Amino acid sequence: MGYLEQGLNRNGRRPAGRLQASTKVEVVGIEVTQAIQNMKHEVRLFEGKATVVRVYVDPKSLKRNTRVRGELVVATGPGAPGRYISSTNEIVLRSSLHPSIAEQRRDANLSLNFLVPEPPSGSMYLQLKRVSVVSSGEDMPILAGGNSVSVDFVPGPVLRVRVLGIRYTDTGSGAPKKHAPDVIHFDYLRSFLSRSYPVSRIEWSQSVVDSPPNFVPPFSAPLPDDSDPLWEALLQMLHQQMLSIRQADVDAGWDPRTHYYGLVSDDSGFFRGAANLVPSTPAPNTVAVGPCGRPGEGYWDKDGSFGDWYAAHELAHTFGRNHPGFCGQGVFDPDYPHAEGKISSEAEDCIGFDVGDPSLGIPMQACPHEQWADFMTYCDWQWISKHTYDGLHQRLIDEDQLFSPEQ
Amino acid sequence: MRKMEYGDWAQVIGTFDLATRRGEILSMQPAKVAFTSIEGGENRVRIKGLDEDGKVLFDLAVNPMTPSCGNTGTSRMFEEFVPVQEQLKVVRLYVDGAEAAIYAPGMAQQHLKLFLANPLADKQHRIPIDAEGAPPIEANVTYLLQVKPEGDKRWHTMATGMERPDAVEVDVNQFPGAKALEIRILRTNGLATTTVLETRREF
Repeated sequence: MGYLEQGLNRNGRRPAGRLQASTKVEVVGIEVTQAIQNMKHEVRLFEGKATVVRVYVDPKSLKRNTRVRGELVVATGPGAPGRYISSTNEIVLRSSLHPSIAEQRRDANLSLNFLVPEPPSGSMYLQLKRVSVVSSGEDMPILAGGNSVSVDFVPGPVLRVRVLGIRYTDTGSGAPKKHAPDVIHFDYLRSFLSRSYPVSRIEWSQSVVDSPPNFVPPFSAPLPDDSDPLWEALLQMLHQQMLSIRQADVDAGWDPRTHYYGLVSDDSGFFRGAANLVPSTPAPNTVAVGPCGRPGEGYWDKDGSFGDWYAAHELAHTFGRNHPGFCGQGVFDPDYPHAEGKISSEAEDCIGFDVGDPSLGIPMQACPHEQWADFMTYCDWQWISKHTYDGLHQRLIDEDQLFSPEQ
Repeated sequence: MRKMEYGDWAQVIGTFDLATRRGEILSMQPAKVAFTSIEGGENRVRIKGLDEDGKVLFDLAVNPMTPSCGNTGTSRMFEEFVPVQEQLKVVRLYVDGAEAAIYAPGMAQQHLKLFLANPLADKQHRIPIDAEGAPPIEANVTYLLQVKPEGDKRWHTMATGMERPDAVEVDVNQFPGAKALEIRILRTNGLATTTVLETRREF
């Protein structure tokens, strides 16, 4: 059957005029998020950090389910010159039982999402201007009221991080074989930090260095009392290496605020990570190491590397973030505000949001606080809470003030 | 609390174990930028610097570093920055008042002739460092390798703590697209650093 017989125009779209005159769409909420946010916008927004404007709508007098997309105007204020951006996705408006705002916030596929890649500092006025039916291009009128929001973007700190892949030699079976992290693990890590950390930008560098000669697998040999002297010795080797390289780099002109992280491939076994310290006061000379590899089948993390959130955890230790005490860890952050280590609560009403990374095939994703735990816990489903976001932000600011290099 | 200071310092990395009353100085390297401790640390573990007459030039408690994750036993690392003066001849680590380790800086100078060798046929991306004769392993002398790709102002430290200057290769793959690399080997005796090789390789 051809397009004409299907009632389509020659461009394959349905003719306009299918909507009832009474059909309208109400904007029930607009949320501007960078990693975690609530509807009061209590999480500060940083210039330069990828931002998603999520628009939650409710259709009125809709006779059948209808797929729509949206257009948003971004300006510095009401009446100021602005520019249009189109939603990155399409949503289906349901003629009955359209998802509530609470449901829409918990699923990136239910909200109209608009990406602002590098927002400037200052006020931003956002107004939903158009909702159009995908099949016909027909406009769906937007009810006045609630279709705009103003938010402020502030200058954010810079995260300076140098990641060193540790190349070790496995002599375990057959000829000695060298193993170093694949580039993809650096890419995932960089991306995860830029998506989840409270920073305007990342000053990133990476390299692969040879491990100390005695750093060889196996990486662990636990004793009956749960201690693991072998792992401890190997951990100290890598911490010493990180500290020495960092010091030589800083003496050679690297920014003294740079944090160093060592990445160990799991090709020859899992090397448990750790920072050498959780400094209670700013100390950018704190270092950390951790493993990387592909997550196993059935694991909660479905992307190409578990080294990303693992490193976010260990690096956060170097910024003074402690274990809140969930899923098998001791309580070192008694002020952690949410039960079970979750990223938020009903009262705080924050929802995590991963803006995604098309270069790695990572889609936008909502992280409901009922499911997702803070990455300082040892729980599955790791993202960042407002508590950790604010804590990291404050430490980054403090380090900027205390350790700016001599001009 | 740490404070950043510029000048003549040395970074001292070591370990100690209060349970066994043991300790070790793992490395010492000169530092122009120091992250000094303001409040002091564990008073039972101290590092002292002495001159040749045994006069104490500094005496500071080390800050134990407890790893963030895992069951980490009783051994702890420390990283401290100590002031370097001409008179400094030895650094000693004390645990509960008993000397646990001693670090006497290595020889001040050593004549070395180093050069870049040709890569092996199957490892064209790795440039070996070669030396005329066999450089001896000296007590408390180590070498580090730094590389500066063309267009970058900074040296990138690629290896530290090497006992021999020719125990390393330059991994060109770490500087993709670089048209030239400056390469240098630094020798340190814990208190002073000297450049024993500085050269350039174009591609």
